[in-house]
Amino acid sequence: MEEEFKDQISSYNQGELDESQKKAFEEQMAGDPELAREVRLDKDLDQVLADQDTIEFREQLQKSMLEGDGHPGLFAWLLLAASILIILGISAFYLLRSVKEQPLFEHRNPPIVNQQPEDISTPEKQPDKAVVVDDKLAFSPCPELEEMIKIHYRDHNRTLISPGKETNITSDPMVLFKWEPAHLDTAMVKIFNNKNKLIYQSNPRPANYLRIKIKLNPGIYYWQLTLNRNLHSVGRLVVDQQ
Amino acid sequence: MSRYDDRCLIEGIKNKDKAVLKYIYREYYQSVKHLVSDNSGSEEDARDLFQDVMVIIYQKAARNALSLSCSLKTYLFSISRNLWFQRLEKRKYECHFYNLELVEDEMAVHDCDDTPDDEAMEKSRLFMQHFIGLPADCQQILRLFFRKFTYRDIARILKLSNEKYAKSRKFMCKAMLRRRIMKDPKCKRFY
Repeated sequence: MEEEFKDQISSYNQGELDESQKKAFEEQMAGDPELAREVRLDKDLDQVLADQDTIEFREQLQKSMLEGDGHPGLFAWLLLAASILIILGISAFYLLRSVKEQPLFEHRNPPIVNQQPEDISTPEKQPDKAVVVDDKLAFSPCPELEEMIKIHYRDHNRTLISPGKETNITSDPMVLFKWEPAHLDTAMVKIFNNKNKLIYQSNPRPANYLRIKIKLNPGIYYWQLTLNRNLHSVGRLVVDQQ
Repeated sequence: MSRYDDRCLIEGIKNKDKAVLKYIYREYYQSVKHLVSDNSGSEEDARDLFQDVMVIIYQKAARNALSLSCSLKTYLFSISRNLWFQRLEKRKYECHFYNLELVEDEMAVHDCDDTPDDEAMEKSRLFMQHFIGLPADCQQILRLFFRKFTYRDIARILKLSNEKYAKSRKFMCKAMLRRRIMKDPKCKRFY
């Protein structure tokens, strides 16, 4: 790229060249892709720089973000160092005391004598019976969670639209958690089995609905919806036999 | 920490109020960060996205063209989501929603968002990064020039010998900025 034309890039974009200069510049640009590229960049740059308010906003925002990250001050570091020293001191005190109290050469765990060998044989398989028992258990309701459904915790500012207190899942595995008004709340769903054991917990995230795909064995399950860290509602989920 | 309602927040954005911007960053950035990190993005991507979305909101607020039919938080998140998925598509990433065996949950696509011109946003951020890296006197001269000050006024304000020198200095600074941008690998995506 010729330096003469390079110097004229801004003047060209700002319409400061006379007719003959402009014509010569455009002819040069037609055969020089590098110059044409820089002209396009300069034009875009002019547009961005012309909006000085936005530039100032970006600067201010960047500063606010840096300050918002909040690097801990000297006091915070001193506090942390003091806490570590205190914890170390307490640990050392108890450690020394326990060493002092423990007699030398004493077996902490006395040797095991005359103990029957552990039975490690596999019990006989009873598949049919086991399945029947499991199925029955899977469909027996959990009293604690049933109580919670009755109480049905509710945030007065949000009304649950879906799911119902009792939802049966047969063919469509999707369960929609929807509430109104549809504000962006920090929402989380937990699913428990009928033994009150937590089997799934979604990550809390901003949402105005959650859609959950259920792939569970047949049985009774319970869901709990938490909105903005408060338990909102509890319901039953029955996964039917196909 | 004080609390603001949406009207105060929008007014604060419009006035580039540092306390309001800091508040918004502290309160809303985490959700944007989760959105990006859950969908193949880095911390840097999240910070860029947050800045770009805030610029979109600022520009609308400054033109008094921001009429919300939802909360500011929802609006900010909706734009972030759209913009982020546009960027992912450009990067030809496979968008993994949520890598969970049991669950596929989705964020709502609220109907009160806008689809911004993402390329312009990215260019603007790139230019801005290099602009603030220029020597202070270059920044000042370009700021004044783009604020429509005459070369004579620029020379007077910056105590330069004359307007001819102010003009050549402005050309030099602009060329320096262009060179720096052209050397940036990110620039190749656009030029």
